[in-house]
Amino acid sequence: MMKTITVVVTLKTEVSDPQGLVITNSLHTLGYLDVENVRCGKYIQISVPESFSQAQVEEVCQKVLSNPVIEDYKILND
Amino acid sequence: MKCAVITFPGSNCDQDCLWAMRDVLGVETSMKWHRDTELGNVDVVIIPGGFSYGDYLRTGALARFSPIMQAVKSFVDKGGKVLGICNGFQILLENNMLPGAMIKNKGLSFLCKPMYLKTVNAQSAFTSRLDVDQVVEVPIAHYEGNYYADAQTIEMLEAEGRVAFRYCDANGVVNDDTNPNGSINSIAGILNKEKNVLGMMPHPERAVSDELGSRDGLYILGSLLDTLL
Repeated sequence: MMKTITVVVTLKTEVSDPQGLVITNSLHTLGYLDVENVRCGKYIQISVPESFSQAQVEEVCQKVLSNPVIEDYKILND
Repeated sequence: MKCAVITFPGSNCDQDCLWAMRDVLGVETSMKWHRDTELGNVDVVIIPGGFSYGDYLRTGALARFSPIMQAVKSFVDKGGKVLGICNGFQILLENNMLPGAMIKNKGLSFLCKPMYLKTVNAQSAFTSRLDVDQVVEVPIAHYEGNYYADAQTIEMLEAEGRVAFRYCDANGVVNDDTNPNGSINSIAGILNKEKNVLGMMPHPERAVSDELGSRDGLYILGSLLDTLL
């Protein structure tokens, strides 16, 4: 039996996000002048066996799905 | 001296590195595939530029799981010289063989142009033919060349003389205006602690002849020849 793990990966707050800046500017151009601080991240889903442990999920997140130098990750609950 | 150049799926500067080392510098150079498990009896390994694994997930992130990287790690531990160029630098960062990470260029453009670099460390195996503050012209071609590391790491790199090159203009001026991609401290290349690994975003293999517009890459690639004398 397989289960789905959903992970959201985001840039650490101290790392600048040029994409987010450009998107913020675009929103301003559209008239949404009060929107601030857009940040872009990644949404990743993996299917793993039911027996996959929490420790294994964390390892996958830390070693592959995110780069801990510049990114944080959050495992989403169902 | 013997050199090996590694090809990953998506590497596209491997042939240029082969040409620069073998045909221009006369170094016996072999090509290694990312699934090879041995490097052979070599003195220098080059990890070339390109888009290994399509830059999927993160640039350089997946290449580090290729079998050849185990051999590269052992090679480095024994003091072998490794030069990571552009995507090669990104692979070394993701592998934690060099500290820090690359993020998207500040201007969000793919930059493809000649660039001036100021030599900061002129004593390493990769820079011995250069003088401190010497300005060289070497092209850049990248979208994710914006070097980032936390303040402690940057302080350590600077204090330990591990910054090899900074972006500058033709007069050697280093500032925000002459920094093409937003890299912290205009860092264009760094060394590991033992100084046998250099990662640099610019492409020295594209600056080895007059037809290419600059021969300054020969200072860097040529320095490697000296270490075996």
